Amino acid sequence: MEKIYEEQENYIEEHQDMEWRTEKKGDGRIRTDREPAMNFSLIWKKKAVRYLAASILTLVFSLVYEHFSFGVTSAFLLSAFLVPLAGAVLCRALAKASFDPSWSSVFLTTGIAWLTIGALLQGMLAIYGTENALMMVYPAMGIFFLLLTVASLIVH
Amino acid sequence: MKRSGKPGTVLAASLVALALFTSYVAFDTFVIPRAYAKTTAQVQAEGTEAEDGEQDTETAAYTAEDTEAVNPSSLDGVSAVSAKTYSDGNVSITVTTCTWQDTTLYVADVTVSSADALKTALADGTYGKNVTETTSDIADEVNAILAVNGDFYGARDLGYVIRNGVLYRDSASSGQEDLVIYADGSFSVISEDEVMAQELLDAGAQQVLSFGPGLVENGEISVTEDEEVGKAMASNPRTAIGILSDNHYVFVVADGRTSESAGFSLYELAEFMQSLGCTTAYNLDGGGSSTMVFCGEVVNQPTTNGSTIKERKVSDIIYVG
Repeated sequence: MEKIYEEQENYIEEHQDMEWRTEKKGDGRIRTDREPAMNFSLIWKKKAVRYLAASILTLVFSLVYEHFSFGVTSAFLLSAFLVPLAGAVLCRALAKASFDPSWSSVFLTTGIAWLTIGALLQGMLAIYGTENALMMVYPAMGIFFLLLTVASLIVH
Repeated sequence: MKRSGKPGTVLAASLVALALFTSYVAFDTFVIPRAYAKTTAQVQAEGTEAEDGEQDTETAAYTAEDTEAVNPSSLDGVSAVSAKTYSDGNVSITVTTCTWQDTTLYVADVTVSSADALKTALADGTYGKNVTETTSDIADEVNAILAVNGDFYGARDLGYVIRNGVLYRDSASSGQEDLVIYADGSFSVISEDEVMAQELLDAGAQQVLSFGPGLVENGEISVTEDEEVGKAMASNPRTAIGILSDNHYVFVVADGRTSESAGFSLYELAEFMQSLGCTTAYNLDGGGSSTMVFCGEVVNQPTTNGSTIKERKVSDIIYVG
């Protein structure tokens, strides 16, 4: 039976390539389904665009925050945009491969989020002149999820 | 290959967890008060003795009038606007309002008969995090004659905290310069990398302030114009304390962030402190924290955003009383 995904245009676009899946039943019947295969390359490219947009937003936020901080600067705040930018570059590289993005992208997004938010918050705390020992959690979680990303890519 | 909803659910849950954790960190940093210790009642009660007017002038072998007060208006480019004085047998204070390099300054010349008159106080009489009061409120609680904001120790987790001879925190901060005020009233600037807090206490330290950097040491400016500190090069409100000679101190507060008063960079502040004749001078918390209270009144224009004149609540003060 052919499955039709009329409501999810993006899903159809991402699943342009159709492939046959054949299953032999115990009673001798052969069941053949056509299922759309995922266009992994397109998925990674879209994620790269989203990370690039996040990088730009992060940079704008950082510049605006610094503008109103009476000349006090923070390297963390100004460099936070590099994290999602690195994610965008990685996604573009992965678009050329055939990695299943489902779990890899989850881990990658989570890791980038922890590192980016951590850098922004660390910068804001530094500008205010305070600190918090809990900030160690951000790089730890970010690195943890990036390692999971690498592991999931290797597995696939 | 079938698409699974689990990755999306996990992603959503991860981002929610991140948002919740970030919210907690923000509250923990700026809002949630944590009281670790109460200051000794005796220290706070010393102020009440002064309120009764019982000035012990008979035992004072030194009178404040013996020392010549600094005159900021005698310095190049400094224009004095007004001056207020206070004097009794033990303490002589002259607060001069002046302008220098488009900045309004408040210079408090302090001479005491005993170094015991130079003290510190904590907000709400409590050592803790996010325990804050305005400088004027703290000064009022201890009946301070003159007070300026301290080092806002509560904003940091590291850095020595010794107040009125009591050690509250001995966690060293790498590269941190502290001001040590000894029982004899002398000043020194030390590095937390080189000495432990207990060693300072054993050496007779009464107060250790951990903000910095040191501005003047041995009469020479100890900051550079190119010092790579985010807060250093910008013009901002500043608070500084210096020693001129035995029992002769100067407290300086500079207004900033307004059209009337631009503020100082650290180097400009150091230059001014050196020009006053300080042998040792130290930078305290600045920005919106910079506040000077004299005889119960806030004499400067404290501001955080440059548009609203309002005291910021701080962790601690250094005062004369």
